Amino acid sequence: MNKTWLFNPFRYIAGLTSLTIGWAIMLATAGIAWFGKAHFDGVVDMHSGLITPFSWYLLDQLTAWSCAVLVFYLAGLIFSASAVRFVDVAGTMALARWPLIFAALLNLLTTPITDPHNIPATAIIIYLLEALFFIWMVALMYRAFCVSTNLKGSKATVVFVAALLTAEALSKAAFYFLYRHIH
Amino acid sequence: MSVSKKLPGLCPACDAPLKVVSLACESCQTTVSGSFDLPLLARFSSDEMQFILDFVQSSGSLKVMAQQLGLSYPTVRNLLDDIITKINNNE
Repeated sequence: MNKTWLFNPFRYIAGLTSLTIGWAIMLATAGIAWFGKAHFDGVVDMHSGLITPFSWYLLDQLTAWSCAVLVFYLAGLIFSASAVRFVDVAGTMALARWPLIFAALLNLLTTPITDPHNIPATAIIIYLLEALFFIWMVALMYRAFCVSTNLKGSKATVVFVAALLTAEALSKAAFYFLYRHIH
Repeated sequence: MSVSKKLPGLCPACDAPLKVVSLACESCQTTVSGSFDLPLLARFSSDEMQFILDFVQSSGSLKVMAQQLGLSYPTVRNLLDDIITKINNNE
């Protein structure tokens, strides 16, 4: 497979097409996460063990994606000289989350950690592998942000890091609010 | 065998913009000398020139261009924005 398709598919796909594909993969990820009891409770977060109805796993995906879209779209409007389309940010950010389906699949191989002082070696290896898929997702999010906003170089990097931290904080606040109110 | 030569826009030694100092008529061999600026469009690379031609031929539709080039809409729009920036910097 062409390297560009792995790390910058947005050169070829954006807007409504990537939004549709991204949403379909997010739905599949939510289904797999439900089987493995893995909650993607943050823009770059995953925790396992909490048993909830399937709707929560869907809500996880939608909330994390929405927080990222909101923050990165606003960052684009503020810092880019180009015309930034909402559908491009929404679509590319949805597709950027596709590596998480592998993290959800890997999580099926683990059992919830009950004793934090006694974590099996296989679980540690699986968590490290899952982390690689999160790194891949962040790399894709960066390319998604650059393509959607036409920001480049150090300006793109600084704005992206600041926006990612803001989006993560916003998503944690959103999940805190949601998990308290839908119990 | 005829060789297709590219019109250089920048000095290969110091990267400063080049000037036209001589123009010749192939019909009567008259030569005009002076110091003329290269036209703005002549300063673009061949890829950029092709992009501008495609843009005009597609009536300025970035969606049509994206389909023709097999690229996403924002990628094509970014290419256009970069050319606009280059034009603004050269004016």
